Amino acid sequence: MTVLSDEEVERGRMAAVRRYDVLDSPPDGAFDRITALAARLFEVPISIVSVVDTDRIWFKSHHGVDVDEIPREPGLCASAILQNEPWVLTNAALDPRSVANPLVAAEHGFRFYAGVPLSTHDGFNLGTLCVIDHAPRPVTDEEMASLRDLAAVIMDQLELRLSARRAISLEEQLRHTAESVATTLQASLLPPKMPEVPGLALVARYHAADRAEVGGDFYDAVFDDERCVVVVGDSCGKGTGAAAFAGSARWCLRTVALEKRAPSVTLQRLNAVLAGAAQDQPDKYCTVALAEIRRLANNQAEVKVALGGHPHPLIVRNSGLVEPIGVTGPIVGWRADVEFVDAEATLESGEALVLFTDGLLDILVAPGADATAALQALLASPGGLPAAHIADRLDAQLPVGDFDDDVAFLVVGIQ
Amino acid sequence: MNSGSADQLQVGCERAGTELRVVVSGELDAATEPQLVATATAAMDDAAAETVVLDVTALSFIDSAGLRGLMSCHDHAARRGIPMRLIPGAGVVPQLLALAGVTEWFSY
Repeated sequence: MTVLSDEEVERGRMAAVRRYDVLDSPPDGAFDRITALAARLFEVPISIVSVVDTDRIWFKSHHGVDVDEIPREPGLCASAILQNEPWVLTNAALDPRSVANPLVAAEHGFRFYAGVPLSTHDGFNLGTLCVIDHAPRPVTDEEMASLRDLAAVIMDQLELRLSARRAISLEEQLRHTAESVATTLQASLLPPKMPEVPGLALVARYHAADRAEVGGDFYDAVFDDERCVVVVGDSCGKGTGAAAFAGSARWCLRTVALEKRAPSVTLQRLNAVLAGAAQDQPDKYCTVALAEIRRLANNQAEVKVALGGHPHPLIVRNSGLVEPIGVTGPIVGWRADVEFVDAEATLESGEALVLFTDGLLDILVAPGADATAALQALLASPGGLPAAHIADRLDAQLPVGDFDDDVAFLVVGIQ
Repeated sequence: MNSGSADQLQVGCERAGTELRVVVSGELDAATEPQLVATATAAMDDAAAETVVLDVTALSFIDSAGLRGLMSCHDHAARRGIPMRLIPGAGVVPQLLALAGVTEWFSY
């Protein structure tokens, strides 16, 4: 067994005092009841729960004396914590250990002191539970046994509070970690910012329903000299599995898009890759709206859209009309043998294409209701709306409080 | 709001001759979908049925995870060579099947 020096013991003891975080804590009924009970039991005027700090003795509870703390010297509790047994002075004025102590020698000084150390499970004495009288007094074994029991109750209380504090802090830590993982993972599903594409205005927005749980919505935009390809998708379910699948889909699309095929073919290739990897990511699928936008010479743009189980994108016309575009194809990544269809439209300068996830529909319309009509009402604006204004109007529809599903949308304005 | 406790979904399985009938009601989402798949596939494995009917007429809610549950049941039956018919009803299920573009994946 290692024998610790006095200094080492005191260092360990102070570490324990700090660990229990009890110094200068607010008054506490539980401890006040114990000192009141101890005073009544011993029929003495004073009972104290003390915690011995480096240079002071702080009273967690003080019954019968209106003092919060005293200097460590010449406190009697400081002597009491130097041993693991109860410290008893039945007549302090006659006891060589205390006769010179100013608390005893003073007029109305103490004559009786019985203190039991508050010992932690690892053997450090934080302070004492003590009873004090101005008159000398004998003490029985039963009384000391009761005082020891009360001291044990105090330690139980301190341990409980310590566990509760640790649990709360651990929970906070876990929540913080979960949120940070969710945020990082979510960010990997979206480009940090929309690219600047000549002749187009691209605006994308993403609103997470729950900060701690990552959703499966994703969007992206890539472009070359001829065309711009935009995608909005939604991986089935929520959580890290859905997000990982969405991430695969996003990067796979970027790769397939390099082939410069029609959206329907691009989607088919994406589907083949994801469905082919089904044993790696079972029970996963996603829905995708994929659009290719080509600027034409005459202030127009040609748009091709392919849909895999995804809500129809909308074209916001300069006339104020809103029309859906796309032919519904099946969800992406479940079955290998599926086909998709391109739908085409010509957009004029000032018009816009809006792609979105079904989280937006959940907010705008009742299940099964006509989304086009709702968006028509929201986005109708003769002369057309700039992409940023469309995004702002959609943002304004988000509820202030909680909503169920993540919301993502991407607006392509033809400039 | 779908808090997703398991008692939001009821799955009943009954045999009628060589047909296994799985009747589902309540809400089918990420929380309840595993219960449907576990119950229905176990019944298909145990019952040695020659046909399966999945009746989802009484579902009051279904989302993308719920759709995954229907497809998992369908695929399980297909792997076992058991023809499965879906009775989608007129409510939330046919709407979702149409939106997801998978109406044709099921037999009716």
